Amino acid sequence: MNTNQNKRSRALQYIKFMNSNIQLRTGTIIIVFFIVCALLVPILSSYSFYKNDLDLGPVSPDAVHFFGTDDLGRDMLVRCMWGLRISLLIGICATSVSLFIGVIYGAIAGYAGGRADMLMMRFVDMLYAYPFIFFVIILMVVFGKNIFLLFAALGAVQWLTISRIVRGQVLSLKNRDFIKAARISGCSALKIIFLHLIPNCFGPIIVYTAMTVPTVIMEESFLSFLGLGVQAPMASLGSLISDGVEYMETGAWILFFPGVILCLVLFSLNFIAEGLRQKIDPVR
Amino acid sequence: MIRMIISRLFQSLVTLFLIVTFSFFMMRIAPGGPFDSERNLPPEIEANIMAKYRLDLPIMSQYVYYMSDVSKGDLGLSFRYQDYTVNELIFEGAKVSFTLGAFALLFALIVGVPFGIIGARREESVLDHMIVATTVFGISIPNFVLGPLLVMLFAILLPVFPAGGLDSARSYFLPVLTLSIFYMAYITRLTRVGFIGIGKREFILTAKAKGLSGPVIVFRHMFRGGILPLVSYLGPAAAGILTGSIVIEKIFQIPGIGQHFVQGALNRDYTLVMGVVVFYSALIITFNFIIDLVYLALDPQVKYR
Repeated sequence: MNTNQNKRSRALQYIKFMNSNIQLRTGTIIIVFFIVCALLVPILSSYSFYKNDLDLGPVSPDAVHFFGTDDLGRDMLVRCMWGLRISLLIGICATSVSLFIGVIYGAIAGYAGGRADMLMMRFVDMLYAYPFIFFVIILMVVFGKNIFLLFAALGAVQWLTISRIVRGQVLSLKNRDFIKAARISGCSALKIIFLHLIPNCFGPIIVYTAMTVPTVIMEESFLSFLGLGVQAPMASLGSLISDGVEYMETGAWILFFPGVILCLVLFSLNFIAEGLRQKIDPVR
Repeated sequence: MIRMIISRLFQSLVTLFLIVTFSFFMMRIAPGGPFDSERNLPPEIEANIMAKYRLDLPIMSQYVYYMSDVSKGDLGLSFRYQDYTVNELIFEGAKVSFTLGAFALLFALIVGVPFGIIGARREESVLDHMIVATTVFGISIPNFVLGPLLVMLFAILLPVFPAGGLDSARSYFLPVLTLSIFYMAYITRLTRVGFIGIGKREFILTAKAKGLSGPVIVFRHMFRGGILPLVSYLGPAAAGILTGSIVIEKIFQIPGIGQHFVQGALNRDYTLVMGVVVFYSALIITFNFIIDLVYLALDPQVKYR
């Protein structure tokens, strides 16, 4: 009973927090709507995303196919929602990978300090100069266009900034009294880093995570647009847009719907990030 | 100061060296080669081809050869277009891509900086909110959505501009606009934030108290400090414009470096792909180095030890 109430008040707090800022509110409403659609529409719809209906061909939006069909007669609404699923999934997975690498790397560099810190950060500086999207493209070409590789590659590209942020935070925290107290009482370095330092960096980490998700989604779509990301018959919003460009002159809707959905998703995610930044990290 | 410049220069060279090394070995681990499809060639010819590209040597000596060539500025022969050197292909594409990129960056600066300053000067006004909201749009719209959309509007529905190619001055308009929107929005935000930060400093209060006019305050007192965040963003921006140009070149069918790169990657033309990576890295590193120097010259507070 008690825990249940606790849970409810936690949820209430969360909703209150999301409601407290217009950007957070707008962004959350749009993104929740899209997530629900992405989950439910492919289940509820009788059309599949891969089955061709060549007799039907491209049909403009009507009461049967709300978003029309593409050149192979596939329902665009279902395809868009599958694309959205993939794009959101990539956003979450790749961001998690980058968080995992970046937070640990940054925290270790900051806590170690001195020479080790300098070397580790120089390494990050160097990687900053590498045109990473090229690296991802090469990876995709060399090792096959595998969706899990895509998760890992995009995540591995994004960890640099987060590691800098975490390192900065750790540097400013590590001489505070509570860390000294932990050290005196015999806490191991690993324990200090994972139990005391990283949890105290959550504010900036959350803000930066919110900023990374749309970036990653955009990058995946960029690759899929070039034909180097998600492979047919699976679709992501980027590959749908790329298909749409081919039929732009005869079937504008094939380009229009995935394009608008991608824009709205990115827009709402950026709004959330901006709102979080204002609430949590108002300095910058 | 001189010491600091030299150490930065040294760091840049080390970075470049590591990038070339890393790319070289990654390309060599890659399974499959550019000549896989020509398996039924007589062994003598295949040996000849391998020798031409030095693929018959042990990997370390290949590496040494490649490094010494690269340090002389020679990126080797293309695997796929066997009559061309990579240098020729890159040079040809670079002319197009650079014109496009330079225009886009310039355009983004010309529009972004003034709007950023206006937003900062009227912080929290309706105009400022409008500017900020517009920038969120600009940042959220990917260029591969914006590009086709603009083509649809201004080349197909309303045939004002050509849909592709770079034959006339007008044909530059759509690609440059598409490429620059994101940077325009981002530059506006950075400028705005920079100027808001500077505007709260005491020396600006003094300037106001002296009764100086708005333009004098903005241009003589705020500008130098206000554009600092922007200056440090120019490095990543240039890198981003170079990669963004890949998409633009695809949408508008422009034969730039990006097209070469994607084609090269799909054809497993490893020398060409490596050449592009090395070339772009060198470019970005040089650019970042110059930006560092500019930053140093602009910011009176930066004291490099």
